[in-house]
Amino acid sequence: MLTDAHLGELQRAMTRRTGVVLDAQRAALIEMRLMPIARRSGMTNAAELIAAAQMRPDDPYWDAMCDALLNAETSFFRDRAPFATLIDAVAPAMLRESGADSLRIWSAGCGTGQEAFSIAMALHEARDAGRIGDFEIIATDASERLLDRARKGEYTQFEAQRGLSIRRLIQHFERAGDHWRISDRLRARVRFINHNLLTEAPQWGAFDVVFCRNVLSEFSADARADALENIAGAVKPGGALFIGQGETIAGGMRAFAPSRVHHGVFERTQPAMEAA
Amino acid sequence: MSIKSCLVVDDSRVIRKVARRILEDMRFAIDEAGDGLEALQACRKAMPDAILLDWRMPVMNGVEFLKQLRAEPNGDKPVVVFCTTENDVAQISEAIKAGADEYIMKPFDGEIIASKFAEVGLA
Repeated sequence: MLTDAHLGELQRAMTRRTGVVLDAQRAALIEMRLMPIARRSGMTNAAELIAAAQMRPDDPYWDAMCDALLNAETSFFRDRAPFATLIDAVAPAMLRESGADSLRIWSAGCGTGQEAFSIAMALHEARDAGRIGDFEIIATDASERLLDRARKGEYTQFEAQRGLSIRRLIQHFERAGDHWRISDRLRARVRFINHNLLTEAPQWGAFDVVFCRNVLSEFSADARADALENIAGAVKPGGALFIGQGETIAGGMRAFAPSRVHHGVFERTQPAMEAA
Repeated sequence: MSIKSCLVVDDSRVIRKVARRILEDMRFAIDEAGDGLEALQACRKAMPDAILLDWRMPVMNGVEFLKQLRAEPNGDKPVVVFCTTENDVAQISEAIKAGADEYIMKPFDGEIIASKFAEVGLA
């Protein structure tokens, strides 16, 4: 049984390492997620695990625990509308205005990869239809556990059916035993990289579009401001930021302004305006 | 918004009951049929807005029913969503060729039904 002291230690470690504010009301769920680590380490319960890690603030157990507690809830084409907005409006307008022939997209906080692969599917279809040019997708997450799954590109039948039409499923996936595996062609389109949104400015050049959906709402206010600063540094002026339904970018309003045309999209302001 | 009708076609009473509960929560008016022939007779009486359709059934299977339905007057009206244990790409393609609009692989849950019905403009 986890005590308030255990939960307090976990909350502090989680916020320090990932920016995520852990809901201590969900003690039973937290304990359930920590149990496999405790068992693997020869301990009988989560309380013992936390007690062992408390001896050292840099104990690797903290990394394992924080990783296990990150929320990986997602689905393909989650909320649908942002992907349609990207393909039907934002991407064609960007390519038209910039005169460029390719787009660079960042899926920040990509979890198990469904968002990045949804973008890849939609852009691939748009490209085949001659509506956009080439594209490159970089997908990042702070959890190596989630990235491992994303790189494999394999999903259970339940996961594959959430948000995917059957035509997309048979066009872009193949069966792999009980699972469905994303096609090699699409997997080659997405580069998965371990990256902590809070502590590191991304080093992979400037992006036209960033998807950071259902990530910021899990962060503390300070962490959200840090994350938005890191995102802003990686987006081209005029570039687009997509956030989740019901999320805000409080703390990042200087770098981004709500799009006048596209609902739920924020545009990177010119750096001169940001300083004003 | 008017209530839409959905015919649940499955030879398993348990599956029909589960599907009915999920679809009634989505505000559909539900009718049931235990095989393809019963379903065809129900459609001739009143064409539903949607059909949730099993594949393997006695008397008339789902694909045969769908082919005959699409040849009926107004048979192109219902949105047909297969809901079956068949999960090979070849079988899925056969269902689409026969006129299916969407396809659910069992086991399913309410979220998957809602997601698939949204794909075809029903939710």
